[in-house]
Amino acid sequence: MRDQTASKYPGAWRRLRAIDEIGVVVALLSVCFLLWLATGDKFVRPTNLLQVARQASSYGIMSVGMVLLLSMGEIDLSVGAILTLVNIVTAVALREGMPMPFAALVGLATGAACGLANGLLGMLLRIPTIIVTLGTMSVYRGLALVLSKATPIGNFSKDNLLFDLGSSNLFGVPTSVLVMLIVGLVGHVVLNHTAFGWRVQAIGSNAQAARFSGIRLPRYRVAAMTLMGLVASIAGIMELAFLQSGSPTTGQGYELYVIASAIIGGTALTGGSGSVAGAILGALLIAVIRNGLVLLELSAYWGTVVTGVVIIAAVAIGGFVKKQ
Amino acid sequence: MNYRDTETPNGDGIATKIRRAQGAIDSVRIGSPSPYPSPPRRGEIVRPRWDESLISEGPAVLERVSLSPGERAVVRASVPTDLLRLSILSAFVVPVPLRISFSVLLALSLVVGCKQKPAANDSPKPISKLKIGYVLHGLNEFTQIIKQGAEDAGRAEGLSVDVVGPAGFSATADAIAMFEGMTQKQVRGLIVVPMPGEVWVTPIRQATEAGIPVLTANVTSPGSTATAWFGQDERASGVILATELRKFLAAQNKLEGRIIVGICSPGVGVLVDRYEGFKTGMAGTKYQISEPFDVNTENTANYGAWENLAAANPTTVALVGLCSMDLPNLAKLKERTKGQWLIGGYDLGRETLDAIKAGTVQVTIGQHPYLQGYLPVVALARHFRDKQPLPHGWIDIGTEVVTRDNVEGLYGRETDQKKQTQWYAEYVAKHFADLNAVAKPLPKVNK
Repeated sequence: MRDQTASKYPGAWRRLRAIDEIGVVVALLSVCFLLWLATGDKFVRPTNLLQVARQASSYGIMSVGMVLLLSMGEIDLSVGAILTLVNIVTAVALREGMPMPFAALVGLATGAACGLANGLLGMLLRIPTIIVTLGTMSVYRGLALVLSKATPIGNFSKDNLLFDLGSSNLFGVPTSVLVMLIVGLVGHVVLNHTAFGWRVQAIGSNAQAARFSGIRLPRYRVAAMTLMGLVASIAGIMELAFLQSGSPTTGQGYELYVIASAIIGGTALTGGSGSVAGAILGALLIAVIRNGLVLLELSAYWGTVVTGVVIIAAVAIGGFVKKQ
Repeated sequence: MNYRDTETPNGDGIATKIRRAQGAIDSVRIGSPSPYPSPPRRGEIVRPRWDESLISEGPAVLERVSLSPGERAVVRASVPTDLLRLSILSAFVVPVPLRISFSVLLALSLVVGCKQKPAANDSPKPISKLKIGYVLHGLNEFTQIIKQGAEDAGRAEGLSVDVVGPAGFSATADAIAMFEGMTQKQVRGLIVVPMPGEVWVTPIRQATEAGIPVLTANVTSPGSTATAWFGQDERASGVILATELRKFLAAQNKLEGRIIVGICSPGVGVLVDRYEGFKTGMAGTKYQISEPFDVNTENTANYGAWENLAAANPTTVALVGLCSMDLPNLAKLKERTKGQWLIGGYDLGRETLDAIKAGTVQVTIGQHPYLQGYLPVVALARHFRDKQPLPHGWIDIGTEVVTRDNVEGLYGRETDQKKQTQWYAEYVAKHFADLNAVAKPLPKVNK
């Protein structure tokens, strides 16, 4: 049957198999279809779908940076902690009376500086970034606790554009979803249509060959880590804008979901290739699962099991389709 | 590789660098006699050696070591001050990038360290060297008040209180490691929030066997050797929450319907007790209480979970959160979605109190976290200083019900540290003057 299909549509089937995101697309459509069957119109209601997209936006935004890193054969475990620190730093800046645009810039600069520090430490100490970021994850989270005194910061003026937009819709779509799409578009262009992106993938594919071809590995590593920090800071500011207060518990455990989003989306853990669109779809899949658990009224204990099973299934489907 | 192998005729090899480093070490120890009668010879290096007699002076003595061909020099830091010497030594034998990064880190540490200023409300240093350790189960707004209470008690009683806790709430292993570290530091007494209680039995027993009395706060560790527990009856607090919420529902003529309950950390005994208590309090009514839904401890995920629950249950009459982050998020959600459901839950953060004032949240249960920090420290101070026996059993610190009717009176206390300290000083003098007298047998709760 498969052979018949392949012979009937050889080109289409081959093209389908060549799509990096095929696994996540199939998994996402399957989960959505099952939820639609199980919950009726509750799941497919536009408000619910927009809500799910908004819940995926933070993971989605950060997964763009993670795709870049994974494509390079690197990984950043401190992304959640950078988000927390940016969230707190921006809230503190606002609380201290800094005008909103400057506070946002301080937040962005903090995220970029954290990413730069990750890259420089890895380069100067010649330590793998996974180890560096394991350490800085604790440093950044600790700094957020020091700055916030482990207490949410919400006593600042919210009468400005950031908070108006952050907690509302633009053209009927939550602002954070639009930001995710813009960051995703930029990330896609950078990864697939610029010399920087090609070199990043070349490094991930074969670092030795990339070095011999004249690519300066440390420079690209530092640049990619800085971009990751910057992207995490965008997510941190968007979360502040939505929840209207900075909290040291924001961003806890995000790193695993962000990495999971990228991998579910077809980015190879071994480097060399990546898909920004797939990563965003991966983030959506995680949000859909969470939403589905509530709609299906699954027990809190079983919900955790189901989340893990669906994530593994999504990656397995991708592999299966490609093998066929 | 032997270090001597790198030596060159020009004298810029490792051995030469090490000798230069030795010179650097001697030069920084101005005023202290060199332990060496003569400079080390070629092939010799110095390494720090632990010497008990020099602990009070800080630096360790240097031990002469001869290197034979093929032998690798091993340098170990024995005391903290050795780190400085080791850093200087390393500066001559490590690659340039490492040197730069170490220098930057050292400079940053010095800048941050030197700029540390005492908090504005810090009183003079404790007059006694008596040291107490307090291990929290995590760091957040709630435990910050426990910490404040413990430190205020330390200042009031003239002893030093070291409050620590892991950053994450699921980090039980980290909390136990901190607790064991405290026993190694040989603090005189220990207070711990043992969550979950069952896994703390052995660490607490080991501490008491080492002669360190242990008290528990917030939750207790059933079957452990801790002498007393300072906390509230969680199950009873759930009943109280249900009773108060029923009043609000009845006032709105909502006499039946579904109530959704969220649990931020499924399986944590305290939260399960609250839930069971809530169900007990709602028994005999027409309300249907949901199973506890996982609403996550992470702030954004928590909001998202409540958002999903509210959307999936449009006819619910009330949403009930069992953790401190629930009520601020529920309040925001209700305002944005113009929700008609009532809200009840726990803890007295600023955002929660603001929401109570605004009428968005109907009722919250306070558990006097300040007293959970303050009272155990007082108990240990009185035990060591005044030779009073430690209280045995349960010190019930009580449950506080906060609604729009009484929120104004509490708002100042919960948002102003000075007012909080003053208010609780009077409250303790009135209700907890004799801790032994108010101690009760341990109830079968908070397991």
